Amino acid sequence: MANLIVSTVCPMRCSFCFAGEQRAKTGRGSATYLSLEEFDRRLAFLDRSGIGEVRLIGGEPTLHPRFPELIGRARGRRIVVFTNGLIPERALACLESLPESECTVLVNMNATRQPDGPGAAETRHRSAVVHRLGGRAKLGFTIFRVDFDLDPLFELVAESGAQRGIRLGLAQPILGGGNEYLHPKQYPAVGRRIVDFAKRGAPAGISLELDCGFVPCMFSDADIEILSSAGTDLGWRCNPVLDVGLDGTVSHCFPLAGSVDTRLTSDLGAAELRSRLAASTHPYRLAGIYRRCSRCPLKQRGECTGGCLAATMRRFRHRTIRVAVPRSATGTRQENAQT
Amino acid sequence: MSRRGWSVYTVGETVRWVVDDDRVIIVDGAVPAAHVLQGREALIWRVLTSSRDFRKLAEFLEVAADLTEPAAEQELRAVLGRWTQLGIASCATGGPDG
Repeated sequence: MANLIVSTVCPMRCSFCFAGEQRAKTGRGSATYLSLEEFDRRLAFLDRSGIGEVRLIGGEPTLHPRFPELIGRARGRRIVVFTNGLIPERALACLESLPESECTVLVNMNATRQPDGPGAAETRHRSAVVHRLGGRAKLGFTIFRVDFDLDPLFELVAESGAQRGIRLGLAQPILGGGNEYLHPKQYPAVGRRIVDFAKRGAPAGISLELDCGFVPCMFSDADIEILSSAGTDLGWRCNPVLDVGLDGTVSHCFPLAGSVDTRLTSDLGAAELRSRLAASTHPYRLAGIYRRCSRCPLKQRGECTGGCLAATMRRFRHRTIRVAVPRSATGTRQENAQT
Repeated sequence: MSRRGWSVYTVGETVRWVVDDDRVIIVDGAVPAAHVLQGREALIWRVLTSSRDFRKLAEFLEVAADLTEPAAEQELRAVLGRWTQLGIASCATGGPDG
C-alpha cells in the first residue's frame, strides 16, 4: 500500500487534520499539484512494488486540474480516492464512469470549513455526492471527540447504496503538534461508544472498520466479542503507510511527516522504503501510547503495536543533563565532618 | 575534603527517554538504538533528570537502596560508566586540583 499525494490544496479547515506538513508547502514556491510526468513515475513505483492499487490523497485530490487524466492513467489498477466529499463536477463525473468494482471513493464525513463541524450546505453537498457515487462510496469518519455520532452515516449508507462498511479513524497527533487529536486517555470512552454504534449498525448490515492506531485495551474482552459478532474489521495496527509527496518525499504517515521521511528513488520499491522507515523508528516501538504498553503481553507477542507511533514518540522527552562527578573523593561525609 | 579533578557526564543531544510503569526506555536517535533501564538503574535515571548534583544523588541512593555512602557513590559511578559505554552519555574529564 502507498498513498500518492496529488494535490496539497484543500479548502477545508478540519481541526484534526494531520496533513499540515503537506499543506504548509502550498504557495511557498512549491508545486501544489503533481505533474502528469511525476504521476507516471509514481505509477512505475507502484508497478515495481507489486502494488495493484492506486490511492490518491491530498490536500483534496479531486481538485487536481487534470484529475480525469490521472484517473485515466491509473486505469487497469484498483483506484481509491480519499476525499472531503465536496467533489467538483468534472471529477465526480469521471469517478461515476468507473465500474464500482474498480473504484472506491473514501469520503471523510466530518471534513469541514466550519469551526463547529460541517454546516448544512456542506452536509447536503456531500450527501448528494455520495448518492451519485453509490457503491463506489465508502464513508469515513475521524473521531476527535468522545461525543461523536455515526447515526447520520448509517442513514446515508441505507439511502445511497454506499458501501456498508464505515471506516473509523482516530484523530492522531502530528509529532510536532498543531492539530486537535484524541488523547489516549479518552480511548476507553470512545471504545464504549464504538461498541454501541456497532450494535446499532449490525441489524442493517452496516459494519465498522477500524483504521490504524486502535488498541485492544480500549475495549473490554466482552466488547471485542460484540464487535467481532457485529462484523467489525478489527486491527491493532500502526505501520509505515508510505505517503508519497509531490516532491518525492516519502513519509511514514501524515502525523510523522517531516520527522520520519525518506526519498522516492527510481529503483527502490515500497518494501525497501518501508524497511528504511521502520528501521529508523524501531527503537521507539519498545514503548506505546500508555505507560503499561512496554510490559503488555499483547504487545510483546506482536498482537498490538502499542498504538499510534506519533502518539508514542510524543511521550519521549529530552533535556540536557550534566553531572559533575568527583573522580576520587577523600573521606566520607562523616569523616570529613569530624576534621 | 579535597577533590582531585572531576568528570562531567553529559546525556547526548540525540537521546530521548520515556518513563513507563516499570522501566525507562531510552532512545538514541543518532544510531538509532534503544536501551531499557529497570530496577535501581531506572530509579537513578529518573532522579538524575530532576537533580544533577552528584552528592544529592548519592544521598538519595543511600536511602533508597539502603547503601553506605561509599557503596552508593561507587554504584553511581558504575552506572554512569555503563551509560557511557552504551553511548547514552559521554564523559569529559578535567579540572584542577582544588
